[in-house]
Amino acid sequence: MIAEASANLAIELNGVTRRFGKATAVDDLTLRIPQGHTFGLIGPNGAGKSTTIKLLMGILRPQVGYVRILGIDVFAEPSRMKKRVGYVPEVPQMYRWMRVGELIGFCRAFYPTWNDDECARLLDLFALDTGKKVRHLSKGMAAKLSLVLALAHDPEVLILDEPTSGLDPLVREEFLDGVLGAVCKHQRTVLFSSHALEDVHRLADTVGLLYEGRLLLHRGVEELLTSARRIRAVLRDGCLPRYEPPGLVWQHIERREWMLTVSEFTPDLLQTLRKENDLEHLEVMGLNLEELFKDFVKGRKKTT
Amino acid sequence: MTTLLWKDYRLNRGLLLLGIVLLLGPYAAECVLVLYGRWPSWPAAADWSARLLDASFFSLVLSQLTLAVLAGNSIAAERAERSAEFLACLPPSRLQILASKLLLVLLAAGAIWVVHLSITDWVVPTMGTPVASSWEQWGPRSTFVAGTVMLFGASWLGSAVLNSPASATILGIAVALVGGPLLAQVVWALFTSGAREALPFCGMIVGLSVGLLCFLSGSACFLCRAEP
Amino acid sequence: MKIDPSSHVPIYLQIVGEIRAAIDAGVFRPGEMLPSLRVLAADLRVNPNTVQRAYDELEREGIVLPRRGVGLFVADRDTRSARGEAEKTVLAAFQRGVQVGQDAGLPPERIRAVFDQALDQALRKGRTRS
Repeated sequence: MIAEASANLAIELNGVTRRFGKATAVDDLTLRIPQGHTFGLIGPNGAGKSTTIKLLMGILRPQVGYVRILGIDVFAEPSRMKKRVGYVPEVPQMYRWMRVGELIGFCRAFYPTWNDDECARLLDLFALDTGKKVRHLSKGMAAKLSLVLALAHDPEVLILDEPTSGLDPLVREEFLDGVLGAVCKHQRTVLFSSHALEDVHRLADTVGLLYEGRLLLHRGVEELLTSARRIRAVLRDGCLPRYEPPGLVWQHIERREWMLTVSEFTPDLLQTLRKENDLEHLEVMGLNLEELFKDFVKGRKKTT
Repeated sequence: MTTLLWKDYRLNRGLLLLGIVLLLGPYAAECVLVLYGRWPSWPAAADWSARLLDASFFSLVLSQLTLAVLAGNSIAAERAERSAEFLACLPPSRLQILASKLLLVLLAAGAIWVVHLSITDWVVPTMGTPVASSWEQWGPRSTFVAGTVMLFGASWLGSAVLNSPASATILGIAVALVGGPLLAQVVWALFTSGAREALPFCGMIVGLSVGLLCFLSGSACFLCRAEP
Repeated sequence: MKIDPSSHVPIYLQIVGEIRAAIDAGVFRPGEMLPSLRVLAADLRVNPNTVQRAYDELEREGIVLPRRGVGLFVADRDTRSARGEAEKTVLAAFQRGVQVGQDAGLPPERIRAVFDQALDQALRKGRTRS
């Protein structure tokens, strides 16, 4: 029963905790991503994004909880899972002494679904020279090769860890084109962690914000942008806010200015805010992903 | 599997080349010496066989270093250059990865013994030199093999738990040259009547058990760990 | 067509705006087919689901019409206009209402509140199709 439900999920982390000594990198994380979805994982440095991805790939074992990809337990059947997953790590650690062609031949042997035509097409698209040694590839070239290796076997799930970090703008575009091609493939699931929130806005259906190993939010990107708002109010002399709206993410009071960010804005909320507080002025503004990210983290920092 | 073996061969190509030099070098050196000694006349068969026997001894001993380095390199090298992480995210199971590394070392060991035995048990007797009886040969040989097993096992364990191939090899050599013989002496003192003949037998037992134990622990470490 | 991924406006709304502007400017003529989902998504470097959402919105507004199995086509001026004209009339009525409110000295929040009140009343009476 559980296995059946899990099979419809591409990625499932259930109550996963991973500690390193006294520090908890991932804290009781539950994340379910259905097939065909594109999920963007964002969060400050040290939030646990890379740890989460390593847990997904089975190169770290959680102390609590389980990890399933395509219904397969990652630690019980790692080989079976890896044949259907493409992975692009943050820093590719491919065999530096191999030539590009040799590396492709090496990886090709392990995947029954390897597509030579697709591989050739991608090598051509990224202008990769098969005779070049991996150690002589530039950072951008190595990143692109890493993507080719992940895509050439037609994976059902694609996992990318900060794929465009450190790449120049031109290479980033090429890389995004490659990933987009993957996103377009029917029923292919993509999970990527990124600091480039613009990339997340472009590519992701849903976004998850990780902070100190916990998921602060998990919502559709466009839904989030449509329903979150920043409100700027001016308080009447000597007055403090009496009523805080539901879904308050973050607030800050300086002199008479009261700035607050809410995650579920409605005109009613505004009405109530006005009614219950002594306000002189009220202004509503939209927020982009970067501002939302900062406000959610700031709001969380205040409470902890 | 062949792909993994190819990769491990390429990773260790330099060491295998060194191994060939250590294996065949003594023979080449002895040949030069015997020719130089008898120049301008051609050396007699007896000279050749004596020299070849000497060479075979040195070759075998030097090749133990090859095995220690190969074993020490096997797991730790990939971990040191981070490619272990790349490999861990590919489909092959940890068992397959380990088996390929083991196979390479076994093939190298096999090659060393084939060369050694061909010289001592085939080439040299063909030259007419009488060879010691089977029992007399295989007694010390068994002890020697046990020593190799201990050397290999300790280096293998070092490779699985330590971070540098060099440390793993040093561990292997330390165990084989110091730890093992000491342990053998202790076992001989404690469990035997004190007869001289029992010492190599103790050495053999100690070598095989320590070697096997180290090999199994090292393999278990690698197989049970999730981290590359 | 350009979209700004750092904007607070969701990309699908940006696309809707861009296409609407392009149609108004005459870049797209009535009867012409909009770019296919994949092509536009690849061009703009966005998730195809986003383009789908934009296209759904345009269809909902009556600006484009679907032709089964082929694609989305720009609606002719009349079809668009009918919807557009109605919206223009409403806009004019609202602008007058806002003017009345401002003349009466009401601040913008009060004017908005009064509008909400009127809409709520109409919805309760069931006169407006929601």
